[in-house]
Amino acid sequence: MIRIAKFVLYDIIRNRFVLLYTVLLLIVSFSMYSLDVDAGKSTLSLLNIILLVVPLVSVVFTTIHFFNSYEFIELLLSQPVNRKTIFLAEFFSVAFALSCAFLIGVGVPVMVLNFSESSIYLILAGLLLTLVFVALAFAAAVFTRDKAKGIGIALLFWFYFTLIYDGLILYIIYSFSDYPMEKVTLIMVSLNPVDLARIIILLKLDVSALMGYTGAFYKSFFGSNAGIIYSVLFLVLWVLAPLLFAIQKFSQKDI
Amino acid sequence: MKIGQIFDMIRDLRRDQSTLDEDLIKEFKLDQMKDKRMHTLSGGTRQKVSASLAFLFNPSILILDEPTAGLDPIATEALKEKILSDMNSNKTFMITSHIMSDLDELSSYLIYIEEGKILFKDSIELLKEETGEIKLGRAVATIMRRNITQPIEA
Repeated sequence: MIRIAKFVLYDIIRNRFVLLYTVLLLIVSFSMYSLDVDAGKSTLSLLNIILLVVPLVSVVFTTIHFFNSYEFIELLLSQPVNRKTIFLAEFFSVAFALSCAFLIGVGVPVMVLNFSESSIYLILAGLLLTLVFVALAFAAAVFTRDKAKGIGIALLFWFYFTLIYDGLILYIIYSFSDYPMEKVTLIMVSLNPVDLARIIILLKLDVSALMGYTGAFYKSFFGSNAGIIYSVLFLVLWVLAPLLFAIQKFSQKDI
Repeated sequence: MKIGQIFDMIRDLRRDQSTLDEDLIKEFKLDQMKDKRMHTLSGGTRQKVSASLAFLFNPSILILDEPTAGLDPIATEALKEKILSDMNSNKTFMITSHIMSDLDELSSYLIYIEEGKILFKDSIELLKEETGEIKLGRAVATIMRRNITQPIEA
C-alpha cells in the first residue's frame, strides 16, 4: 500500500493545490490572531472559518482528485493488486496531504501565537473534520461514475452538514421548546460531525453561555473527560462509516 | 505522471517478478520519451505504453483488446512480430479485434460473436477450407451470409 501511496502523494504534491490550501490557512490563522488582542476571540473566529473551509476544501479536493486519477486507478487494477489496497492507498494519501496542510496552516500558527488547551482541541477537531469529509467525499465519488454527479453529492454533504442541518436543529428545538430537549439535541448534535467539532471547542473556550439554555447541560456533558471521549469517538465513527461503505462499494464496482 | 514513472511504479509493485520482457519498450522507443507526461500523450503512444506494460512481466496468457488500435504502421508491425515470436515461445493470446487482416496473420482459432451470441467457433484453417476463400475477412463474410438465419450453436 505504501508503494502505491508514495506515487499518489507525489502526484498530489505536484499539482500545488494542497500548497495553496496551506498558504491560505496560514494567512487566515495569522490574520485572525493579529486582528484581535483577545486570543480567545481570535480562536473563535478562526474556528468559524475552519468549520466552513476545511470540510469544503476536503470534499472538493478529494472528489476532483479521485475522478482525475480514474485512469491511474484503472491501470493499477490491471495489476495483481488488491482493490482494497488501492483504495486505502488513495484515501490515506489524500487524508495525509490535507492533514499536513492543516497542521502547517493552522496548527503551527495556533501553537506559536496562542498555546492553550483550546488550541489543541481546535487542531484535533480540524484534523478529525478533514478525515471525516475526505471519507464522505470518497464515498460520494465511488458511488457514481459521473464526475459532476460525484462532486455534486459531495458538495451536498457539505451544504447539509454546515448549513441545512443547523437550520433543522433550530427548527426542531423551537417547535418542541415546551419539552425537555437536552438529550434529544445531544443525539442530533452527534449526527453532525461539524457540530460535534464546534461544541467541543466552544465549551473549551468557555463561551457556552452563547448556546442558550442547553448550554449548561452540554457543559456538564462535553466539558467532562467522558464527553470529550464521546465526541472524539463519534467523529472517528464518522470517518469509519463512510470509509467502510466506500471500500465495500469500490471492491464491487464495475470500473 | 511521466512515462518513466509509470514503468518504475509498476516494476516496483511487482518486485517479485524477476524476468522482465522489455522488447516492446525498446521497439517503441519509449525509453527515449521517459519524461513525457501521460496526459499529454496521443492515443497511439498511450497504446504503446499499455502494450509494453502488458508484455513486461512475461505472462503466459495475454488478453489483448484491439491491440493495434491507434498505432502507426511501423508500431503495428512491431507489435505483430512480437506477438508472433511470443506465440512461438508457448504463450497463449486472446485477441479481440474487428480488423480481420490482423487476425488472419496472428490467430489460429476464431470465435465470432455478434450481439452476445456465438455465430462461429472453429479453427481459421477449417473456416477457409469450408468457404473456399483465401482471406479471413471474405471467409467470415461468406459464413455470416450463410448463417444469418440460423446461428450455429456452440
